[in-house]
Amino acid sequence: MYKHIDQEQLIKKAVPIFWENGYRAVSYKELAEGMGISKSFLYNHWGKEQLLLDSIDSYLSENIDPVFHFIEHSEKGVEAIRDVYHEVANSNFNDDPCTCMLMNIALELKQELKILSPVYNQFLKNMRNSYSAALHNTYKAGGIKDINKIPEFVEMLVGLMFGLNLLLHYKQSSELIVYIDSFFNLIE
Amino acid sequence: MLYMRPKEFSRNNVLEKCLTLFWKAGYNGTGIQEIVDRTNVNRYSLYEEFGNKEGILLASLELYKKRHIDWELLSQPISIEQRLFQFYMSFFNPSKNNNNPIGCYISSMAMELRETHEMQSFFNTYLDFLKDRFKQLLKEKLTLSIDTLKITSQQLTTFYCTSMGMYVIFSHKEAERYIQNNLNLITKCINT
Repeated sequence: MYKHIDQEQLIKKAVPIFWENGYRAVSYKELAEGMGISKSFLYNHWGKEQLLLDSIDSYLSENIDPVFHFIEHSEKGVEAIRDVYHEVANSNFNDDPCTCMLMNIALELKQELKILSPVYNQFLKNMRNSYSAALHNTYKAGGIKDINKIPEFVEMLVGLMFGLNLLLHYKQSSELIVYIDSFFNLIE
Repeated sequence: MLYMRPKEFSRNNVLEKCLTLFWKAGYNGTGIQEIVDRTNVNRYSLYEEFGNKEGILLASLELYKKRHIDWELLSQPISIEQRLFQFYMSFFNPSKNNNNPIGCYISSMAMELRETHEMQSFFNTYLDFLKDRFKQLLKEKLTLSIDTLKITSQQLTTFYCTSMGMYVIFSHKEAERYIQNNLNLITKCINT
């Protein structure tokens, strides 16, 4: 029945539903209504778990990969990463569910959904690779003294994003910017 | 004089069970009937004791803070860096109650209930408390400037939120390496 409908377009409609509400709290009814398909089709031919995986894929390629690509290829090196973090700290909750969908889902489902772990691992790998490339650019420009320290700095910045994802909901932007900068100042 | 009111249930035992339910299935994923079934306390007695479901939550958060977080680790007679390492790692080794997930119950609830007024106030107070504990610890290094003290205790607090998020996807070994690595960076300035 839905053979001719572009699956990608359907998945794109599911992304904001998971992003805003998480996984457990979302019902088949809500998803089916949001996607404009029948509940029974969704239930019998797709499944909530598979739809979540498809939505995460779509979210990563639409929202996250371009950011990693920007960081990796920017001539600003580590400053490009700082710009992204500042942007996250300044984001406005009224416009967007601005925290990371994947981190939210990871925190919600903990280690229950084993099928998600390859997705996280790939996500973390892409994040580390792009940060590492940026830090190497900074190293070449003389901003980092010891090249062997780069992996440590990468880990620190990856972790900081996880912390921000929570603190964003509790602290003012101006306060977050101070925290962010204090961590970037450790890079030398 | 201490006067113990006779009760049909132990408040802390009930709270421990609720804490495990909320932590595992989420606060919103736990119905009051499940709480009744698990604790064997009827809902009227629960409401009489705690007011409502939010009351249970807040009482369970307080209990966790008092009972499950090993604050003693921060006052051992070893180096500040080692104390901090053991403190952060203690959330990865929940030895006191093996039924509970790893990580921190408070930050887990803070993530789920980020839009609620109660959690806003509880979590912000908790973060301030944590920052004060770190500050006290760092004050042992008498040579630290006020600025370093302020920045470093803040960084340790932020890093706390960070690591509780990371624990979800880390293995034990990865967590150890990660904590060590970050603490080295953060505490470098207190040794110079």
